[in-house]
Amino acid sequence: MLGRWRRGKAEEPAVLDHLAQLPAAAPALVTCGGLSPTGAGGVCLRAPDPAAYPSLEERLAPILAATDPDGSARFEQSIDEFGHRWLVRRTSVYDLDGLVADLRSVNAAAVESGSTGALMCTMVAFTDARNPPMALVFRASRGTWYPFVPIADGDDVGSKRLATRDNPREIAIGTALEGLLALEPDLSKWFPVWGAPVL
Amino acid sequence: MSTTERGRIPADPGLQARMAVTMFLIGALGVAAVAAMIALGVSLVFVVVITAAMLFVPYFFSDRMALYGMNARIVTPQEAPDLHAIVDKLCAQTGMLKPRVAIADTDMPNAFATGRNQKHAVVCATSGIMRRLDNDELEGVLGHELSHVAHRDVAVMTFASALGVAAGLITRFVFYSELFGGSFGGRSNNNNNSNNALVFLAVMVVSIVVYAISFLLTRTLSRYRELSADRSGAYLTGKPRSLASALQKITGDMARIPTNDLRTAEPFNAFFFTPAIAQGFSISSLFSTHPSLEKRLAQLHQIEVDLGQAPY
Repeated sequence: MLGRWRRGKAEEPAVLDHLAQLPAAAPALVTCGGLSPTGAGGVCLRAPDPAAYPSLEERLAPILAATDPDGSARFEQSIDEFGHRWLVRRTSVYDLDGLVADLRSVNAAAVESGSTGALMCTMVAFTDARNPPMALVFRASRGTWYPFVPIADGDDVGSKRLATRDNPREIAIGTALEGLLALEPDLSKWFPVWGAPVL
Repeated sequence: MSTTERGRIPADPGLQARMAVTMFLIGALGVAAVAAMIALGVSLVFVVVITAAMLFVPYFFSDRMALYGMNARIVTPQEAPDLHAIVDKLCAQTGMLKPRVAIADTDMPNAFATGRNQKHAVVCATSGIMRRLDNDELEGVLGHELSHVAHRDVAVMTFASALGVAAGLITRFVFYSELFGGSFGGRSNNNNNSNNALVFLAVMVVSIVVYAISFLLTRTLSRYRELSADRSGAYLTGKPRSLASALQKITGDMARIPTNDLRTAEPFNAFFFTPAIAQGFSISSLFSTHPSLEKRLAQLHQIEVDLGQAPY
């Protein structure tokens, strides 16, 4: 029992390592129709209830207080339609390393304060300059990544205007990243994040 | 649409021959089974009543059962203009009566057609399939489903499978009536016990054999009807490739990718399940009522070649 517990603890940094694999894997996306970073990425935290994760707020405070050289806050904060909280970081398109490091610091604050449950997902946006941006989505609870390629309106069928996603492209992106990134093996867990502020 | 269709769609003699042989075998099995039951002393009335009941319910209620099973609702042209437009177009091409159009609100990508004839037909698409397919692919799928309606597949398969279901029921009735010392329709318990036990065993064996053979035959027939619907649908829309890509999207791995948002999906996911479909013909199925994806794609590719849309 003790052994299990210890192993569980030891796995936590590994989850963050999976997150940190992205910059090394991203060049492979160039083969997927020339996808490159938009410079935007963000973390979605479950419905803001600071009381539930007091130590998380403590850990987040310095991260949220950090500013760029131009004096603006490093992370933009917003609340989405579901009441969840987004911390969005926009950097230069050339600084994927810095972006992922910033996103990792938010994830680390949650994981190390025992608030992994507060992490909904982490997203990093990519674009091929022709289509709307797509994202790679990381879930700390599973330690895996998956692609999400939304399709713009106008291709919709039926009664309502339904948002759609490009499944064949997602599969192709997944194939390109195989072996480079901890990819979510269960396709039924590739949940879309419609209208995410990083896209 | 049989006359119109025959004019437009080249027949596949091989497929039709296999289908005819399978249907003949099912009919022959039925005659043999009834004869065997009567010879063994099961009342003719009993066999006929059970079989008729097995026919009646799915035949007359297939549409309502399927809509209820899928939690689908009939939609008006105002509610689903694009879906109605595709059905209108296909019906105009074939001279079919326009079926009712329904939508089932589930993320599982599927579509089905049901109803005993054109007048009572319903075609239903799930919101999951509408999210995953573009208009051409959806047209291919609806062409497949309307072909089932035109071929009267609900009626054919209901008749074909009624026998097997009846055989299963008779086995069960005989088993319980023997268990509780009653008689099974007709035969009284005047006979001595050992004779009764022999008859009981024989009826069981015949029923099980009939059930097994009829199960295999109906599955075989079902696969032929699916291939036939793929074929008619592909010629009808003139877009075999769209149906092929639709099949890949909804029966392959891709179908497992969800469309419901992460932020709403997670808490409810555990309670989500897909009810079994009652009577009807759906585009995808895990059971062997459908031919393998490879076989369906191969046929569609051949049609593409025949239509001059693809190099061989």
